[in-house]
Amino acid sequence: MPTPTAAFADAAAKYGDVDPEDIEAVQKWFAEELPMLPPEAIERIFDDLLARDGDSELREIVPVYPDRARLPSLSSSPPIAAPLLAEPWKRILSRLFGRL
Amino acid sequence: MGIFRKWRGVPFARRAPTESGEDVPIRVAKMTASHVLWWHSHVQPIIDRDPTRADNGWNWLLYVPFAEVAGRVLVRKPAGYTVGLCDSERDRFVPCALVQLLGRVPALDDHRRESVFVWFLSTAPDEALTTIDGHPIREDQIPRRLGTIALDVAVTHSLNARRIGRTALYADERGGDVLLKWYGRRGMTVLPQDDKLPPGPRRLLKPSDGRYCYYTVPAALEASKKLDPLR
Repeated sequence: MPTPTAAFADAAAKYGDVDPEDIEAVQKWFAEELPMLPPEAIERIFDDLLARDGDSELREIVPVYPDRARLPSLSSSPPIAAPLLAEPWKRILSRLFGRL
Repeated sequence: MGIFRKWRGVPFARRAPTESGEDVPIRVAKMTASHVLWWHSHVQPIIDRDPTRADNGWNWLLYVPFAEVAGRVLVRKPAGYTVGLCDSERDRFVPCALVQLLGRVPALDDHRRESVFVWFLSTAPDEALTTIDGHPIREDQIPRRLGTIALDVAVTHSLNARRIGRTALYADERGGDVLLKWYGRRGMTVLPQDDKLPPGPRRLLKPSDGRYCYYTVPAALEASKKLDPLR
């Protein structure tokens, strides 16, 4: 671990024509533009980033932190469902047949 | 027990120990933009003040698109998880650790098998949890063993995704020997420097240098069992 931030900035510049020194533009491109690309393009970008996994940071990217983001809510962070068979049997039966 | 565990899968940890002696409830959730937005505004600035941390300078806002959107279409099946403290009374979820992994890469110890690879893993420093505006956490209520729990998230994903526990990672150079030994204490094996990585660009660009670590199947099952009291 990991791929340095500079590699992400370079990918945004290469595939999205984004200024790699503008970290907010890079973040915006990854959040909004990247998911709109065809799967093959995303795969290529992903390969580029993985190829630089473990690279030492070649240049510093000055971070920009969002201001006072809200604490996430529990209700919008549902737990990952456990495999059915890994659950205690009592809980499985409760789910299937209602409260025992 | 091991065979049973491989067959039935494993739930994620639901509790974490604290200094007070009481466990606190935690939840492993799918990593979302709101988790990483809060992390990057509140936790990462504190991490970035410590140049000795391996996760200094990380930017989770760049990693989440792969987990949230692109993961569905990519061959390597990336997945992102957030480990967070639960406060059900106030409907608050406090992210304490983030894990970004790849669900389908060749295993380091047997290139014909598939493994999980941990791409990014980070835990919140205590200061980040005790200084939350309007929701400070008491020192003795801070969840402990967060690194172990976060690593277990990857092993659990591996068990549940038919990778039967195989999990690998690259221990960042900035973590030095301390980090390597930490993974060793959790049962991971270090890939010898002379061993070849699975075919792919990484073999050329980042060949084995004695910092790739992996869980064999028996070691993963053993590590998973050790965390059972917290599930």
